Amino acid sequence: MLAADGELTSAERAELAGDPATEASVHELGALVRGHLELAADEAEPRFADLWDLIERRLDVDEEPVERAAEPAGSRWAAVRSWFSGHRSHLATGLISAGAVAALAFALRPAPTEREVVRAPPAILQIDTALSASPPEVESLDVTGGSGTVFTITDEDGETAVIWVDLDDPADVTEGI
Amino acid sequence: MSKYATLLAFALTLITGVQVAQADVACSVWEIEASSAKDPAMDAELKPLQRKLKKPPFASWNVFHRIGAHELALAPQQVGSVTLVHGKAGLMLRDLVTREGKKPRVALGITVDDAAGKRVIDTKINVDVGDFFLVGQALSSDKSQLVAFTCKQ
Repeated sequence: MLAADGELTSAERAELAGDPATEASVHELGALVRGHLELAADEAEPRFADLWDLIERRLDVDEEPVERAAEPAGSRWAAVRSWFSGHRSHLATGLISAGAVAALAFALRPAPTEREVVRAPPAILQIDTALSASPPEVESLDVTGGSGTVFTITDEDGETAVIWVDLDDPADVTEGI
Repeated sequence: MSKYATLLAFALTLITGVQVAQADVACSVWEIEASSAKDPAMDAELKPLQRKLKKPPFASWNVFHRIGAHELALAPQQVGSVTLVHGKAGLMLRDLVTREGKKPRVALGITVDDAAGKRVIDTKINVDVGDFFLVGQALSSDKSQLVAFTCKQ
């Protein structure tokens, strides 16, 4: 490599000159290496061009505050813009952090589950639980020596069942008195 | 001898007390005489029946006297009887039914005998606790007998 780069000492150069085959091989190897490097540079040139464009844009952006500094002093809007421009990196960091936290919270949120909501009925719907009355019922009636009539008397207290007995011989009723 | 009598009285009191404690309903039996007179009259004890006795067919009379009042403590399937002025009444508590939202109801078996001991009616009725049930018959041309039954829990 020293021979290819021309960095040999005079003694080494004299020794290499005595062997023409080796000298030719060294130069050929150097040509191969250079060719390979040139090809690699050609392949990487588009990427470097994009990178350079990016750097140029950054440089242009960095130059803008200097231009806007020419705005009239005392303008509130200019002061606000200046402040935001000066803290752009902080704001960007904060926004990115907030976005990351929101994304994490959204991704790690608990799975939705069904909730059973029990609502107590409004007090106005509570019904007075007064016990209701039922009419009287006569299941069976046997009258000896006469007939019976069943009827009901209705008044404010409800219905009252009455059995009126008509004996064939009413004299029997007071027989034992 | 007096020691045994005391023990017997204590045992009877205990048994009677237990029976009363086991009774589910207290039934009242009122015997009423109805008649007509120039001046209407109604016993104060009959106030619970006052409105009913002023309605037909009881409106045919204007004098009502309670001539007997009896109390019976009954448990289900228990039978009781009372002696009336004009006969005898028997009462059996066949069942006591409690229903949600409604008044408790008693199923009664009722018999009424005349003064000679002859069975006049034998009936089975169901009424709400506190309601009255009436049995009536003519004693003579101007006098009738009413027997009112009511039970309370």
